[in-house]
Amino acid sequence: MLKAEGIWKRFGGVWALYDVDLEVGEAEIVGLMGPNGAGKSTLIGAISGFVAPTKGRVEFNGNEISGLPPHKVAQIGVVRTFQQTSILNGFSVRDSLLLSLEGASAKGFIARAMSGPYAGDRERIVTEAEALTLELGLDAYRDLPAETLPYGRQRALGIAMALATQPSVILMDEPGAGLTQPERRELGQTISSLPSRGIGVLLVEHDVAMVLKLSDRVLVLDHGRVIAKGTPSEVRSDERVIEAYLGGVD
Amino acid sequence: MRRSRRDIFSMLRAATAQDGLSNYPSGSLLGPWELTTVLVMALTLTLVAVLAGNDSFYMHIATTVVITAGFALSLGVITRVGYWSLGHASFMGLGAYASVLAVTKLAMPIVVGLVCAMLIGGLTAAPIGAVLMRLRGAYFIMVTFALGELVRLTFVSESSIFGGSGGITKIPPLVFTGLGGRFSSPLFSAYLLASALLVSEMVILLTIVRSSIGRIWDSIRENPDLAESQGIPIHRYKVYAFVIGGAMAGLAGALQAHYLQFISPSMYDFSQSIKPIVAVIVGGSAFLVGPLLGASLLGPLPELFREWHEYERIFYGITLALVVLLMPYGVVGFVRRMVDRFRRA
Repeated sequence: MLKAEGIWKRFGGVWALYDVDLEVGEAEIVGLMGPNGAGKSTLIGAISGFVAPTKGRVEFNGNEISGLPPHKVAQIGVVRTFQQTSILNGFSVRDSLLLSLEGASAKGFIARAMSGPYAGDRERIVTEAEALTLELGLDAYRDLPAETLPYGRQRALGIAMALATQPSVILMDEPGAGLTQPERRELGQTISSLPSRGIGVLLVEHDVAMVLKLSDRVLVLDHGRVIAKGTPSEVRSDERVIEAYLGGVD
Repeated sequence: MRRSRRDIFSMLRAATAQDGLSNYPSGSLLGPWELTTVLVMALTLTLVAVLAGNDSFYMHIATTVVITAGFALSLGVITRVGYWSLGHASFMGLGAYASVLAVTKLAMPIVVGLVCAMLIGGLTAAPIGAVLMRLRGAYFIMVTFALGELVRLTFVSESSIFGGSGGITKIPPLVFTGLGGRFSSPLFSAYLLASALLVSEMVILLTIVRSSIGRIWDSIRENPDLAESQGIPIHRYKVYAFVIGGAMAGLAGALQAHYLQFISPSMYDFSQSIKPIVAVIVGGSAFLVGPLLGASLLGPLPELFREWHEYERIFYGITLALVVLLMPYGVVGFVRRMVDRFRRA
């Protein structure tokens, strides 16, 4: 489904990504680990169109998507979340979800202006917004501006918005950052439910235990290179991974 | 009895949990808030005409305010997506010259002149917006300043077309000959036309902003990266806002030109670009009624305080500083906060 081949990215004199290959199959969870500065966020940026790779090719269902602007990539079905909490100030939970549910609507300016508050069918949009509100535990905050939500709910809103775009693949940039243990468990449940809805996941996380538990396959990045890949149990015992995380003994 | 704040919140939560669906806006083009706004606007404009209709001084102020309000509103569309243009008066100038030249040189009726003004304003804004809306805030401000001056200097230097720094005089006024009596005076005609157009513009803008486009514009202002990651073609929607703003500014310029029957390049200089900015900030940039309110509060001042004309800019500066410090969301935002506080108490 989603396939990145030979991605290179240079920032000035530093290679942030060094010939990285990656594949996320249909309804598959792929974990992406690595120490700080390993290039994980850059890779998400390169796939989603926010960062132009120096070299390389990204494909989705056989069609090249590298070089497309971010909104096109999202419309095709590859949506990203952000490492820093990213919300819309002044937008209630409801407005945020309505925005994401209709962002990719093919309607032009005049057609949108002439169709009232909903670019599509009101019944369907409201039902979907409600379903996501309940699923991500946002029902107590429907009317409240996003910036007044507790931190954990702001993170959940980010995921709800990404799901509202009806993606085929979701690229999650450290969704667990700053969450409490109960929130992490809840997040784990949400993520593990995605494949059953036909959504593939690229999960970037610092929480090694969480990645190993949820992922079907794991990729480990260090200094922009893939240093290990395989099933969680293979990666867990890989010496290069242990060295990258704990530092060499020499 | 005064309830604690927490009580109110828990009640609110309980209410929305039971009936979450009814809080989704209805599918109609204009909601109750929009209809009320239009109604209040139309009533106010009619009331002014009835009360001040016989007094040419007050009618002059009213007409000036309505035209300025249209101009401020046009900038308000662009600030909606988070961009502050320092050269917006140049679109007003382009519209004014377009209409005046169409009417005087090509002998077109004034209605055609007004359409030309909108077209020239919008069509000029399209390529400029397509390039400038890629810039981040501060760079956009600097480039619009330079472009505004460029347009003004072109009006001065191309004197064979634009009449040079002396401008163009004896511009035909707007007159509704059919209405007869007082209604056919240039002053009353200008007021009626400008008011009708302002209400129409407001109806169109309220429809746009209530639709999914309003959310898209707001999301671009608040967090463009997030908006783009949700599949929204943000650049295209920024350019739409810029084009609408340009066309509306052009129309305001044409109305002003035919009303004053005189135009010159200095009417579209930097200080004229500042005025709508002050109006939008004073009124409140987040709501469409903000620019209208700001223009209504500030618009009459130069006419009422003619003798102290040289202090006008100082006054604008002080007002702007005070509003930014005391009412960061403008008069409309301030009123809204007071209403919220009153409801909670």
